[in-house]
Amino acid sequence: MESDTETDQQLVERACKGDLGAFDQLVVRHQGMISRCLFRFCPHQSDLEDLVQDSFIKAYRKLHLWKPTAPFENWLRRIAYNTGHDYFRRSKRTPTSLSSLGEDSNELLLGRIEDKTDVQEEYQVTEQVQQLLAELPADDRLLLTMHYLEERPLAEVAEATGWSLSKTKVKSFRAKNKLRKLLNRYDISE
Amino acid sequence: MTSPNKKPNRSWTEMVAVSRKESPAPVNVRYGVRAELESMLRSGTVQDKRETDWINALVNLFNPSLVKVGVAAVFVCMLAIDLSTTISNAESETEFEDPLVTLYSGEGEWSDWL
Repeated sequence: MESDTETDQQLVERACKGDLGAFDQLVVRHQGMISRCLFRFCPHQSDLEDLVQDSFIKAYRKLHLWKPTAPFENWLRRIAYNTGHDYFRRSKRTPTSLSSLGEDSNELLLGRIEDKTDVQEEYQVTEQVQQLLAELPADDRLLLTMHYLEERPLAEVAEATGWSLSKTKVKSFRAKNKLRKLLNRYDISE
Repeated sequence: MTSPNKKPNRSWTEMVAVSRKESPAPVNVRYGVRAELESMLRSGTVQDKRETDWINALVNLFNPSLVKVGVAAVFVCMLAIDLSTTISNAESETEFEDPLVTLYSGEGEWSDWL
């Protein structure tokens, strides 16, 4: 197929001229990478698909802003992280975290973790980690998800969020402290 | 029922390590994205990117570095205006007659000033 040999830049140029087929090819080429990035933010399959789709729609709207000096994949990944960040902000406004469930939240978290150890292993730990991180503000959750789970360097977190590197380091330090307190509260060892 | 004294069987480090090994099931959003884009193109909502650029440009006008430059420029202009419009002492003393001074110096009736 011709489009398989085309570079991202060529496909982007065609897509900018209104060729949706070219954008289709970009979607097919990069959807795996985007879903792996966003999986750390949202392990639920249906929500994950929505987030991946949102990321590509945002990318299409901003396609004219991409500069070929940086790889298209990196630019796309940054959009995906921003989509993940928005998702954290939204889920903070409609909390599903354990703190919203009242006094028995410790017990409930432990219950959920134990229940899931007995059932299928698939995605359960990522989900548990996100349930725990849902207690934290969206910025901290983003930092910890990108830095701990995605193993992205702080420089990349700074680039994705638009924060300065020094601000990112300070926020990262504070987020780790908050996480430590959270682990203590739920009696989870580090 | 679960007991509050029960601990999860994994530490945070272990949870993170296991989570890193987990990967999502393959997703295919190609047709969803295509349908959404076609619908956007039909309704003309994709064209709002130019408006968004305008909004971004406006927002950028208020970014901290530009605001600092703007404040510095305004300060320099005010200083320049202030220096260029200094009134000399001679000018102010000869051409300006204070009606109160005239009134109290006894040269006119107080009602004239009113």
